[in-house]
Amino acid sequence: MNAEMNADCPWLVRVFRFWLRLIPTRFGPDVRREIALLFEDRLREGSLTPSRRLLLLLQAMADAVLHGRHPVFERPLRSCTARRDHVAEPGKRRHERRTTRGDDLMSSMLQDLRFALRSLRRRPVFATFAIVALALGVGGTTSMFSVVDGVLLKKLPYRDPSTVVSIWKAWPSWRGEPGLDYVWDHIHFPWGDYLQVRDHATSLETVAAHAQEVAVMTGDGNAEELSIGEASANLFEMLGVRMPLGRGFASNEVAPAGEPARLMVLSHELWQRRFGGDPSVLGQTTTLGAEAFEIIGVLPPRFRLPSDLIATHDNGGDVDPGLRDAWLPLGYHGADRGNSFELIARLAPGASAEQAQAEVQSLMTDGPDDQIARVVPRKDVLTRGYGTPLVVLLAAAGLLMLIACTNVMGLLLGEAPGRQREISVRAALGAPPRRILRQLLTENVLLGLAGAGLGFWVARIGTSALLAVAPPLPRLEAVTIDGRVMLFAAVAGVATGLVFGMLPALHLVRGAGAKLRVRASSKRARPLQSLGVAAQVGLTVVLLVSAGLFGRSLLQLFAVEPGFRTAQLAALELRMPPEEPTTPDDRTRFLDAVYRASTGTPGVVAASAARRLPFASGNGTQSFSFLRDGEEVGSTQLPMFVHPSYFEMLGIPLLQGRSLQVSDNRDTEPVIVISRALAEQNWPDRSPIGERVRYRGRDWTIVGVVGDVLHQALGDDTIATFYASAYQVAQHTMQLIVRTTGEPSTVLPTLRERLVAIHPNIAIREAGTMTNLMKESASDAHFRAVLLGTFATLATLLAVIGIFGVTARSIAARSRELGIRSALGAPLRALELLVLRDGLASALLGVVGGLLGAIVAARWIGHLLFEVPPLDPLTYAGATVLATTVCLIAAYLPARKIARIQPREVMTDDQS
Amino acid sequence: MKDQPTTAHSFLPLHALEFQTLLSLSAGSAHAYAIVQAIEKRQPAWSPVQPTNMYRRIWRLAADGLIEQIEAPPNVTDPRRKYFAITELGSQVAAAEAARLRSLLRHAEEAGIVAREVPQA
Repeated sequence: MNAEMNADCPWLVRVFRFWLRLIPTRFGPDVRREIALLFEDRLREGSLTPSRRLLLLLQAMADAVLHGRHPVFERPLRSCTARRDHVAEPGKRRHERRTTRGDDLMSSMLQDLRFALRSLRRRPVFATFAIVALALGVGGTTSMFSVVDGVLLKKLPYRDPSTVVSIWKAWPSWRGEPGLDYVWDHIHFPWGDYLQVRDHATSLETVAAHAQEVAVMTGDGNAEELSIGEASANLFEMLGVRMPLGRGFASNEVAPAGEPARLMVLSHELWQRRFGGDPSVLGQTTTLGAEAFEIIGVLPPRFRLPSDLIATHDNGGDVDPGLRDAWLPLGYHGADRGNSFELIARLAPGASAEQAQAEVQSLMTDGPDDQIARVVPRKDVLTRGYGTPLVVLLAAAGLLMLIACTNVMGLLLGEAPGRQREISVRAALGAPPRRILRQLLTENVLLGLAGAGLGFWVARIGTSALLAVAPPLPRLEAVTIDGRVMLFAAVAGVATGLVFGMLPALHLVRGAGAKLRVRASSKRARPLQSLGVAAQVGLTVVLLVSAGLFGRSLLQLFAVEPGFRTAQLAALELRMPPEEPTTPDDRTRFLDAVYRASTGTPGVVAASAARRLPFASGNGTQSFSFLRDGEEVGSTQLPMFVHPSYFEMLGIPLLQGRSLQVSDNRDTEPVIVISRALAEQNWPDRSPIGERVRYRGRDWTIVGVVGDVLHQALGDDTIATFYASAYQVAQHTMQLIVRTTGEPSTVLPTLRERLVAIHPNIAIREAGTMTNLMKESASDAHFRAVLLGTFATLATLLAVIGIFGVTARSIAARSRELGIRSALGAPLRALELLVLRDGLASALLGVVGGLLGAIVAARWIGHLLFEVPPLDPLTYAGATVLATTVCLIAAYLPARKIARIQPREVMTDDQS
Repeated sequence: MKDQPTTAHSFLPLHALEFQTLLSLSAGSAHAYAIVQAIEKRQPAWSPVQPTNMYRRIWRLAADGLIEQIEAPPNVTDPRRKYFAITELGSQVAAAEAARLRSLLRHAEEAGIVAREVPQA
């Protein structure tokens, strides 16, 4: 039993321990531990329900506030060793009491607290509902805040981050071109222009460059495909990176000052994963490709250098696109690599990004004349495109918070009739209104704090869940529950308690003057409560409509036909070290061996291979030209190098001509098969079969046309594609695709073993199942839909509580009237309708207001939707029906209590 | 100010929770949770004893020398727990408080308060 309880409750104990540290007390860590232990013992008692445990926590938290500052804790504890010296001081207690009384403010505040606790303890149902409502609101908002804070608000982990800029070229001619549009303003620099900018730009204090490669690390352990960065000598130093181990590159170890040395700096992650975090790794050599490199340093944990293209285009399936596993000196893979070098610079003191942009523009010599320079603050680079979607979600969380607050306000107003007499008596006994107000606000602050405490833990769970479903946002590694997030939760809770508790408190204090009658105040509270319910329902409808729109959008995305059968397809990325297989023939033989090994694996129905995978090939477009009516025409398409079995295996239909064949090899005429989009684009009025295309200096003949396949994310446009046989263009890296009879995961281990048997240095990375790749390509939309769906569900729940409460209280307040009506012979149905009207009228008002609000909100989020109009009638109708039905049920449940009203009893009660 | 001699009566009246703590420890040394359990067994109608309040009472009793912290018994499995035992002064104070309560009860009986507490149906 104890073990079971332990497994259930550690978070409650942690909340309590945290609370003991948070509140001012007069005891030390020793006593704190003891008190927490006592609480832990309490939780282990019998079979406690979750609500009972929560109540215990709240009571213990309140008790700690009440008693934790008692002066006795400052007196030394007499233990058996000190006993002989002990002389008891009976007068001491009286002195203590005097000291406490002397501190008027503290004393009266403690009194307020004590009173507030007693008052809340007397109303456990109210307190629990209020705290849970607040916790949901605070938790939801805090979770979203932690993500927004990490991604958008936190300072970049660089030295003096505001002066760090990224530099690109932009080429307006590429704008709007399929496959190029996303990169038109992010073109990297060629080597020559990098040196020009580095040596001559006066508005830039330091100019660093980096480039990206992929390589296979062999040596000890399994062959592993790594993302490799190349860094200029000043890159790490400029960003203020402090290496926990070793050093970065010296300028003479990096091109152009020296020949790039065979040195390597490891990422912290690779150091831990492959080298077990061993500090003696410095000076060791490791093999990358065919070369041995000396390890000279290790980067700090979580060092990322993402570009702003990562989420949609640059990741190719990487889970952590900003991470480079290891760094080599800049220029190691050669300087003649076209636009390969991404520049990061620090502005000179006093210089602006605009000045730097003009200067860089004047220094560019390489490339077309109409290319322009772009100098963008690094912060904008990393948050571009993410601001609005995240702020939309934060706003949705804010709505949830607002609903929770309105709910609590409704609960407080509902309590008003019951408390009016108590408050009036206090006023009659001489308590000044300010004192009563302070007392009531203390209660609200206490509620807010408890809500924030619980909400903080909701946020912890929420943030973990968010990170689990989040799309690959930049800087997700910076998302943590830290002091800022805790502060946010605490301020949100207390501010809510104060602001939303103010109106009910003022309402009570105003009523406290002369009237000791309950009914008058109850009547005044009712319109406010009804308005609160209307607001809750309205906000809920806004969330329901938004969630509905995002949900429908997601369904539309998943309904997109990818052009091939995705069921039971899994992909493995195979990469060979560059030195082997050495010749194209070797590579062809290697491809053959892989194909045979795969098709012969038990559980594999069919296999094929391609250079790129669908859903992850967005940035692979290349230029080529073709002859149309004897004239050469330029075009940009996606080249795919595939095994001839590709079309049949994936179920891509052959529309014209023939497919690729194994007999199409390096000794025969180069042939290609093109996609329907490419055919329609360029040969709209005739068959393209037999036409010739020039690519990589060779002429290729079109032999067939196949159906279009979605190569980018779900929802993106289809890219015109041509397919060449991997037997004609031998590939070094291939994506092996297999269709399995059962669950792909059961087949992959055997397949992996068979592949390693072909060559021990083959690096294998599981790219996942095709269904998952497809889903991941829609992860943005998925994230939004799941989150909004959760918020809308919670909002509906809160609204139900609100309506239930209003109707129940309306019945309680009108029980006398209902009793009389019943005694006079009014049928039960008529009485039910009478009270239902109260709850439903405000709910329907809320639905109408909410629909109007949703129309405004939908216009704001319209650009995030896919093939769903912002005013989609189905979504609005669905939300209306759902909200109305829920309101009806929530109002009807308490209305059934009318049948139990005994006219004689209620009338007698009222006389007493 | 001149120090007064320590007498058991100078501690009276005792807070109910402190008296209950002394009663619990009269049966033998115990840790805080065992004290709480004993109290709640004797006083099932009381609302649950809260941890900080309990410690405040224990701390005061120990600071006044009515109880003392002792070494944990050798067979204890949880080393985090503090054990307490009643002192001689503590026993005297408990006895004095019990006598005070008995005298109060007698007065209440004479006044007929106890009899009136259980109304006849």
